[in-house]
Amino acid sequence: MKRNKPSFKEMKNEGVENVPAEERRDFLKMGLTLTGVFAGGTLFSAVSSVRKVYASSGEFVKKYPYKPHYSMMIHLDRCIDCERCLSACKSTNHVPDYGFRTAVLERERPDAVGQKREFMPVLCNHCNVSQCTRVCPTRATYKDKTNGIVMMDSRKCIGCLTCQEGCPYNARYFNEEKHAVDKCNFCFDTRLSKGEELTACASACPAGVRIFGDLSDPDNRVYREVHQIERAVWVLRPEAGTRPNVFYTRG
Amino acid sequence: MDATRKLTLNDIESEITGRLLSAGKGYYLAVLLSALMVVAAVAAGLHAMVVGHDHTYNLTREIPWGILIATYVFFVVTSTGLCLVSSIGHVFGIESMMPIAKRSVFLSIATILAGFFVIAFEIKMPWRMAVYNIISPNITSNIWWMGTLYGLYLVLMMFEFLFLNLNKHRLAVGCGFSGAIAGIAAHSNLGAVFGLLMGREFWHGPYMSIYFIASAMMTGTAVIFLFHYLAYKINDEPMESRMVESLNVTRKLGIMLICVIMFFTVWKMTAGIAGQPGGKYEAVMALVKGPYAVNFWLFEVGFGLVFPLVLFYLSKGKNMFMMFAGSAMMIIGIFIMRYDLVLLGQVVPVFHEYGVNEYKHLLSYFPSFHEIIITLGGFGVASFLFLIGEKLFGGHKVEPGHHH
Amino acid sequence: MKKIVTLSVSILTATLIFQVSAALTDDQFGGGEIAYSAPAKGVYFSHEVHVELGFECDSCHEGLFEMETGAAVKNGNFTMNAMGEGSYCGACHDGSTAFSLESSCSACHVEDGGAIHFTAPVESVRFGHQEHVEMGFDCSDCHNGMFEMSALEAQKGDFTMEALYRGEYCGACHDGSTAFASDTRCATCHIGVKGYDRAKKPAEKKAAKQH
Repeated sequence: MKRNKPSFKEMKNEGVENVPAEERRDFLKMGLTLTGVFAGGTLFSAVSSVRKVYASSGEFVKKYPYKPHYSMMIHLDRCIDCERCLSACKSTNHVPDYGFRTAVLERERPDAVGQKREFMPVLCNHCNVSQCTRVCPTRATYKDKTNGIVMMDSRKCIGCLTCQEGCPYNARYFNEEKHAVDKCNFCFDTRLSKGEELTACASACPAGVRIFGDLSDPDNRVYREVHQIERAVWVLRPEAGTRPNVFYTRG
Repeated sequence: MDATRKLTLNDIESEITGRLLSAGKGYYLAVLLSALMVVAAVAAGLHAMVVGHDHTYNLTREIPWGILIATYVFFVVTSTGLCLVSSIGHVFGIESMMPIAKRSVFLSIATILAGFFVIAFEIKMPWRMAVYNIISPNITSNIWWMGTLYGLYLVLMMFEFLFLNLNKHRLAVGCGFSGAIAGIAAHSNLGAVFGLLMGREFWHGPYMSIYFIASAMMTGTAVIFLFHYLAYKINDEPMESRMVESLNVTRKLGIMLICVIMFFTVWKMTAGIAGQPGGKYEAVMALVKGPYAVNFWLFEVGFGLVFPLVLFYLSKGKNMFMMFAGSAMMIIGIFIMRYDLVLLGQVVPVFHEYGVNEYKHLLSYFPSFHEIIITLGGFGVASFLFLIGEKLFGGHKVEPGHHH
Repeated sequence: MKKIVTLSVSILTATLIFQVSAALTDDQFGGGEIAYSAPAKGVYFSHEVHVELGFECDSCHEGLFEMETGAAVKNGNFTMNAMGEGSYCGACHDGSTAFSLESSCSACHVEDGGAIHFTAPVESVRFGHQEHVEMGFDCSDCHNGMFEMSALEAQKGDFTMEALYRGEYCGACHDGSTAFASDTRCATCHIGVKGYDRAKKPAEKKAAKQH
């Protein structure tokens, strides 16, 4: 990987102590209200900032913009590319053969010590600062106000494909049958709205790779995994500034 | 034509017919060819809509924008450039730029229509745009602003042209000024369509909006020169000394703008190489010594900048053919610039930095038959309108002293 | 004793017969080299070796094996178990007349199973015989009841990670002490659908998938 990823070892204190407390509080509030999550940074700094700024974790949780705040934690090292998630997604959401809503990418490192291969499931990150919804001229794609899912209103799609250009995660494709761009919506129409608790991919996964849940619920597994100091959690392409709601971890 | 004379419908009809019948064989051949290109493009575009764009265009999920977007950008760049350069004379009152005004305004309408023609076949459901752009606007979308402002721009340019021909100079100046503002706003929004995409390193930043305006003016000078040269050939008239002088000023402006774009290009490339910024570096190196090196060095740098600069300089404003050759080269070069600009933002896959097997390499694209036909159709629209306009409006003559 | 007499007689007869037949056919030792691919692949039987040891045709082609190549496989019981009970090769390979079935596997099992790609219960798991043989393992280290010699036999049973954690199948060694634990380095063996396609599907499909 060319880009520098933040690592614990290299982290230095940026001297926040010198910033007046009130200002810091405002700054973090704004950041967390916008992002709702710890995207981009390491958890260590994020969690400790939360402690500094909010009297209780309850106050912090209120800062999540959505309820439920749907998100997914991906346990990267557990993925074995059996692709049951892909078949489940395709059949549940009627995804045509030429497209996909989620994919499993493969990284091979012949010179690695130990395991020489890793699989990386990718899907729509349902970003809090979503590029696709910003660039859409007709609001055919939009953030759902209650749960934060990036939805599509196919009728309004003019097919300019700017959202495809804007997405840093290659999560969108043009569906010829729907005459609109199609993308992952965490199975909202096909499962969640019908009372199912998991997306098709998460429910099909035999290895516990895809953990789907509510980031605003302190009892939820995703919440608990994200809010751990010991666990390294990251998001894809943090430099794109999208504040994703799909997290990655190992172990 | 004296605008104050009372005309009957018969007069107008015979006047128009007379003008349209006054040309040589070459002219009619060019009109026919242009019309055929447009018809072919309409056929290809409709065919694509019926059988599906995925079967007819070589576009992919990773490269959803191809030559049609590039062509659209090329035409709107040209139109904006024509508007801006021509406004120097008749809007801002620089006397020596006056004679090129009418034709340039007309051409800016012709080229934006060519752009709209092409984009209509690029967008998958253009009819939805007409409805939802109005009832469901997204004001954070640069595409929305660009579409809306270019719509406004087209209307203003049409009124400007109307008022210019009716010798209503005050109104023409008003429309021209507003049109120029709308054009700059629309065009910089087009730059922002690319520039504000955070995940696309090659495009991202304020550069695109600024570059697009400078680049538009450079294109404007080339197109003004090219079409004026051709117009006098078509109309078979010697160029008036005022026009020669006006084109000489355009030439000087062109030289300056080529230098500006050279400056922009040098820093764009340098910024993409120094420190090897992720995503941008790979794209810039693809231009410098990768699969797009010929496009870059021969077309963008050679045809687009260096050759015309030399020819413009050597012509001293007197050698018309040299200037014509220079501007023709420039237009070819600029088209490739737009093509590369659109493509290079997409060839580095979004997951490139993760070193996954699927996205280890640069992506590739080459336009399909349908795409090429529609692209040619765009040029057909511009050339058809230009040719008809020359005869219909009697060579866009601007009488001296008819302003303000 | 009777065997030795028979052997001496047959050596004489065989010499005569084969000197004649050698002139008539390339295949001077009857069936030549037989390569079995089922139930286990890469098993070779050499007529030459056995004829040179002094056997004549009807030593084996009299009840043990049909003359027709592959007939034993079609019988459906051409297994190590049957041989252990004295059928087929087991008639001589009993540890006294010839080496035992329990030893020198690679004398007959010339090729190992190659790369095995399991497709169940999940797609797709690769086991490389080569890597394990290079580490010094002998066939019988695993083919001792833990894995059948027949490829993919394991996936018809309870071939799950839970079974591995209990020490079955791969889990016998992949326990974290003999070899890396089977709940670590998943993608070392789990090469996935992509790995399977690369190994098994022709290059054209790969090319088509790329774009």
